[in-house]
Amino acid sequence: MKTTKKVLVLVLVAVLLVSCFAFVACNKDEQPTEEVKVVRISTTTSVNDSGLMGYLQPFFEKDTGYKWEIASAGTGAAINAAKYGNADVILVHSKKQEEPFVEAGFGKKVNGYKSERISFMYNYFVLVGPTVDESTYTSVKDAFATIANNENNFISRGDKSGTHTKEVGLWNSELGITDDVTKLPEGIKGWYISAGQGMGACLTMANEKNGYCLTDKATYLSFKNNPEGDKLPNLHIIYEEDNDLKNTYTMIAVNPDAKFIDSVSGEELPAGSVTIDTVAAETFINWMTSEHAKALISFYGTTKYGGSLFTLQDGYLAA
Amino acid sequence: MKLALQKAFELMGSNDPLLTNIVNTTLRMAFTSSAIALLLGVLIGLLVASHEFYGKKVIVIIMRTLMGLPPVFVGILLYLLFSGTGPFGSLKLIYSVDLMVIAQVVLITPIVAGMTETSMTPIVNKMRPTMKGLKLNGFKQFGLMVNEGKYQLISVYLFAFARAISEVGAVQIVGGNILYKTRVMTTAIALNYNTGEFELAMALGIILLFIALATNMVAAILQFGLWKKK
Repeated sequence: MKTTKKVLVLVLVAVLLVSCFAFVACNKDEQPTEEVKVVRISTTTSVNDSGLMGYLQPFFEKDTGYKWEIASAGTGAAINAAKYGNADVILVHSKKQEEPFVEAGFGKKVNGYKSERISFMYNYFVLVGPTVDESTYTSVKDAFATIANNENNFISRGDKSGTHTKEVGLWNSELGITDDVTKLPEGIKGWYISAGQGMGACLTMANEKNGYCLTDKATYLSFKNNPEGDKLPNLHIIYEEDNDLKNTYTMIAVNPDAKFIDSVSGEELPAGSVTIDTVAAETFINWMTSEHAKALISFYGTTKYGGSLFTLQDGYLAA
Repeated sequence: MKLALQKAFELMGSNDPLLTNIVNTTLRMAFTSSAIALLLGVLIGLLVASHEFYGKKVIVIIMRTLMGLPPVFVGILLYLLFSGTGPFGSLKLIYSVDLMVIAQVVLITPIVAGMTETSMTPIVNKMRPTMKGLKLNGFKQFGLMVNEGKYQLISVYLFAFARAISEVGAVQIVGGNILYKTRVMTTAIALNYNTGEFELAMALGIILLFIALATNMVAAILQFGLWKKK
C-alpha cells in the first residue's frame, strides 16, 4: 500500500506539473498582446499564400507601432468573418462579392478616399496548361472555347473563391458552367474537374493530369520558380494580360455601425453590436497607400521572380 | 525525402525564431488541451465504468459516437459560437490559442472518456468488492482506480496528446493560422503545402514526429517503470 501511494502521488504530481507548465507558458506569452495595438485583417488564402503580406508586416509594424493579425480563409469565409465582427478591415479580390458587402452597409468610407472600396493594386490571372500546347489564341475566351471543344482536362477550384468566380465567367455560357458545383451539366464531367481545393493543390493536379488551370500569377510563379525547384514542370503560361483576366485587390474598412450578422441565428443585429477598431483599420489603409508601402509592393517579387507580382493602381483618392 | 530530412535537422539546429515560436505555440496548445481533456475525460470515464445505472448503455454509445466527432465540424461550430456576434463573442476568444485549446478539449475529452471506460471496466469490476468491503469514500475510490489503471491511463493520455498535436481541421478555423500568434506545426505544414514548399512542409512534419517521439519516450519510461514495480 505504501509504494502504491507513492506512485499515485508521483502520477498526480506529473499531471499537475504538466498543467502548471502549460498554464504558466500560456500566461507568459499572452501578456504583451494586451498592450500592443492590433489591427485585425481578414483576407483570402490566395493573398496570404503570395507571401506579400508576410513581406510587408515588419515594415508596417515599425512604421505605425501597430501589430497586424491576418486571418485567411476562402473569399466567402473572409467576407463572412467581417460580417460576424471578427475583422477591422478586409482585403479581398472579388468585385462580385465586395459590392453586396458594401451595399449592405458593411463598408466604411475612410476620409480622403473616393469610396468604401479602395482598389489599390492588381495583377493578372493567367491560364496555364500543358507545355506541348503550341496553338495561338486570339483571346482568353477563345482559349477556353478551344479547351471545351477538345475536351481537354481543366482543373477548376470549385470553391467559390475569387479565382473560381472569375473562371466560370470565361466559359461559353451555353456550356452551363456556374459557380454552383451541384448543378454542373452532365456533358462536361469527363474533362471538367471540380477539385474543391486551394490554388496550389489545383496547380499540382493540373501538372499531374496534363490539364489546364486558371490561376493567379503569384501562386503560379511561387510554384514554378520555387526555391526547392520547379514544382510544375508540365505547365506553362498559355494566356495572360488580357483585360478579362485583371485581378484587382481591394481594401474595405469595416463600418462599426453596420448591422452585423448574428453568427449563430443568421439574423441582423442592431447597429453597433460589436466593437470595431476603426482607427486601426484607417492606420492600415493609409499605410498600404503610403509611398513607403507603394515602393515595397512594386519591388515585391523582383528579386525572386524577376518581375513585380503586383502593379499599383491609382484613382481611389477623393478629388 | 532525403532533402526534407536534411532540412529538418538544419532547421532544428538553426534556432530560427519563427520555428521556435511555432513549436512553443504547438506545445502550449497540445499540453494544455490534452491535460484538461485527461482530467475531464478520466473523471467521466471512471464514473461511467464504476457505476451501474439505468441508461448506461446509451451513455456509452453516445460517448463512443462522440469519439468520432469531425474536427472540421467542431471548428465551424466553435467559430460561429465565438465569433464577434455569436453568444460568446464578448469573450473575444476568436483567433486565439485559448479557443484552439477549447476546440481540442471538445474533440479529445470524449476520446479519453471512451477509452478510459473501455479499458477500466474490467479492472474496476475486479476492484468493486474490495472497495465496498473497505467502505472507501468517493475520492479515495477514485484515487485507487486511477492507481490500478495507471498503465492504461498513460496510454490514454498519449493518445490524447497525439490527437492534440496532430489535429489541423479545427485549429485552422478557430485559430485562423495567424503568424506569431495562432500558427502551429500542422497549420504551418498546410500553409507550406499551399505555397508549394513541400520539402519545408515535410521537414516540419519530421520535427513534429520528433516531438511526439520525445513525449512518448518520457511516457514509456514512466509506464514501464510502473509496470516493473508491480
